[in-house]
Amino acid sequence: MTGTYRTGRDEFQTRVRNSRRRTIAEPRHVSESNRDDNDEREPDRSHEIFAQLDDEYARDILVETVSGSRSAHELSEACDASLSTIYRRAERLIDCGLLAEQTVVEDDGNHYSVYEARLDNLTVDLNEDGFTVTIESKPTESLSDRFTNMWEGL
Amino acid sequence: MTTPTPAAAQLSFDYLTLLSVTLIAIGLALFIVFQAYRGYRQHESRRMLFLALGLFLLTIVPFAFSIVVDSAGQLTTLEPRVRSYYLPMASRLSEVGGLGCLLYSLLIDAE
Repeated sequence: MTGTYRTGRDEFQTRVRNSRRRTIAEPRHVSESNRDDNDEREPDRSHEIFAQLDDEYARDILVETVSGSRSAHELSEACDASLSTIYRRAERLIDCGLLAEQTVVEDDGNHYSVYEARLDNLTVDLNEDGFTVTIESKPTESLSDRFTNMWEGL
Repeated sequence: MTTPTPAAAQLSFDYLTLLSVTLIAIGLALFIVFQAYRGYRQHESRRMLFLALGLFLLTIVPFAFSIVVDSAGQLTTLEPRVRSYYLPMASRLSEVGGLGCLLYSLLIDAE
């Protein structure tokens, strides 16, 4: 999966693809074909990505979640940060498409979120039009997630 | 007269191959149903719940009926009507219920 973020020198233009947040609250029946229509063009996305990568906690979160999903509690301990810091950073990383959130339902019905890095490779190209940031993200969906997306997309 | 007649040996072989293929089919069906059920649990999707239920009624229940009848047939002599009517009827009813669940799953709005 590849999302391209483009920043012009005079006008900031960003294309966001595949940055859908994976939460319960979001309607999950949006099919691939009309997803682009629903994606708003958000301005200044690449700046946001640079800002995230400059942040020590955000980098720590990505490093901790690269090999498997972690809960906010685990991240809070691993990164030596408060829970609210983790939630704030995670929220922004998700908005940038660098992190994926998934909901775990326990047997007693309690919910909590786990986070997993989506970022695999980030390329910054410079040309006359400005910077182009390309994110190559890895699939974080499980088989049952893809099954649910497929069935609900019918 | 303890050696089994060729007909009896053939019957047992038929039963065992049918049993193993049915068990493989049940295993595969259970895996798919489980994925659908996990989709329901993780996304709280009613559509996935009815998909899981529909697949269960379409596949696993008829398989289980056929195993039960075949196994019972090995132990006792069954009335011919069991194989010719009751088993197909029970399987078909379960499949009708399963298809109904699939249809319902397609018709309700995703939540």
